[in-house]
Amino acid sequence: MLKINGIDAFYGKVQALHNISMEIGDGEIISIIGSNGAGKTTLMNCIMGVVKARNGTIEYRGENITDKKTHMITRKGIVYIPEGREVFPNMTVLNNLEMGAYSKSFSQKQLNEHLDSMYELFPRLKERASQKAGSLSGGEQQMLAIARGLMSDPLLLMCDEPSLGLAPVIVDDMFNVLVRVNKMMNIPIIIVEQNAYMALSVSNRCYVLENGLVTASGDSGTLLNSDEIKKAYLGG
Amino acid sequence: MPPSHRFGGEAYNDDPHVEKECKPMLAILIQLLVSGIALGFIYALVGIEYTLVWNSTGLLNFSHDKLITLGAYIFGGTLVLGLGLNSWLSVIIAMIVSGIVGALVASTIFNPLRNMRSTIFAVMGTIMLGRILYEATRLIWGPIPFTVPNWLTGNVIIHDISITKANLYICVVSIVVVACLQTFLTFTKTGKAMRCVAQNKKAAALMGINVSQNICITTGISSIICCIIGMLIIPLFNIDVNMASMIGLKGFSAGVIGGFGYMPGAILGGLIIGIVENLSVAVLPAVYKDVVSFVLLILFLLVRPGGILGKKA
Repeated sequence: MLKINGIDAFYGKVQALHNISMEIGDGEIISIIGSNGAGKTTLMNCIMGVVKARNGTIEYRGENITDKKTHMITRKGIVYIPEGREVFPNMTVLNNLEMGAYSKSFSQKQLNEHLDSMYELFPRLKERASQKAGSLSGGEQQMLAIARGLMSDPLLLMCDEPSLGLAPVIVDDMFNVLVRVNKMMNIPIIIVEQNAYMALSVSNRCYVLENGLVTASGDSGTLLNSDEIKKAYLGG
Repeated sequence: MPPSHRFGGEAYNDDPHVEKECKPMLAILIQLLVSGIALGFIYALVGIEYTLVWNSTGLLNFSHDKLITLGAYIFGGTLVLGLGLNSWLSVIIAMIVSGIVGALVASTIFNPLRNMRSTIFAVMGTIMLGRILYEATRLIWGPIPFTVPNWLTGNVIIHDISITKANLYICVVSIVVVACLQTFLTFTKTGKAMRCVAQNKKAAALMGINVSQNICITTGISSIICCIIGMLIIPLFNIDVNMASMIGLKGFSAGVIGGFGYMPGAILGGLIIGIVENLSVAVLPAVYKDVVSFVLLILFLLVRPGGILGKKA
């Protein structure tokens, strides 16, 4: 599905990613864990074309998308739910969801069907449909961001820090929803997380990022039991 | 400034009339109020026009008053007087040409320069563009002011009150423009995308919106509004290279007073400035008219920098 071959990324003169390679197969849930500043979000921004990779290539379904513009990448079916949710605060929940489907030319009927399925996934959003997105709580905004991303029938979903700043109860809900989406829509999901335990327990495979380098990767179950990971990310 | 003096002066000239009987005083006040509202709508349109660009790009278009002048010159100088076209056909052509000019401004200045390290690059770009447009209009159409005969002229007289048709046209057209713009922004896909770009460019791009193209459309619409302003003020200020300098500045004050970057704020601010400065003629000498709006601007910057409807910074 998505293949990243040895990319380097820079912010000015500072190198943020060093020769990163990874692969995401059909229907998988991949997690990318690492501490603050490890380069997780930069990697996502590289895939989306927000930050340009200096070396290496990114291949999506056999096509090189390294130099494509962000909006073109979205139109190809990669949906990125950014860190910090980034909903449109002055628009209603309904408008936000409609904008999620901007890249598709849905008929009104199709649009309503998509809206209904999102309301089914997140009943809370239906209650808030006419409210401004900026007035929602953090958890509701995260739900909205995920639902907005799903409106365009993505072929690959990338979720950046879905647990950021949320109450523990809601964090569980969020991960459950992602697992459900993976099963229901049968699409691969990349979860970028600082909450390593949660990310490892829902994903099939995991990459560990440290200072812009992939330091470990493999089966999530194995990594969950590895001493090094336990020590570094799971509190001993 | 002779042009604005001329505008308020019309009602002011009736002053000797006041001394004879008491009733016309009210009539004069109403006339001043109407011309204040009309001018207020012009300031409001200016406010809306640069607020669109400000929201979309985060940049101020310092050449906006020159775009207003350009619109008036294209309409009056080339289409009506030069080619002798029918006025209404000329209106449409002038608006289309202005829209294209706006899109060109966006694709040559805003889009290449907005991601530079400092916004000063793009700001300097628009200032330079303003100079270029200013000198270009002077070279193409000459430095002598002129007007378009029979364009929005005439008076409507109700009892003692005489209202120029230009003022009525300004009010009606402004309301139509605001209504059309609001409908466009609320109900069309492109309009909604414009609001998304204004709120969050990164998220907008992630939705699949082509941000650069969207900025071109927004600047084009802003430029069309500039052209409409230019055509509306021909009967008030004549066509002159400096015709829009003062309203350009006062439109800016309108935004600050109403709430910067917020469209209802620009409308409210524009109306307040227009009405206050016109009614000030009743108590202050007419030469101080232009001072009033800038005193208001400074007062607001000191006391309430967020504007009346703006959020507190």
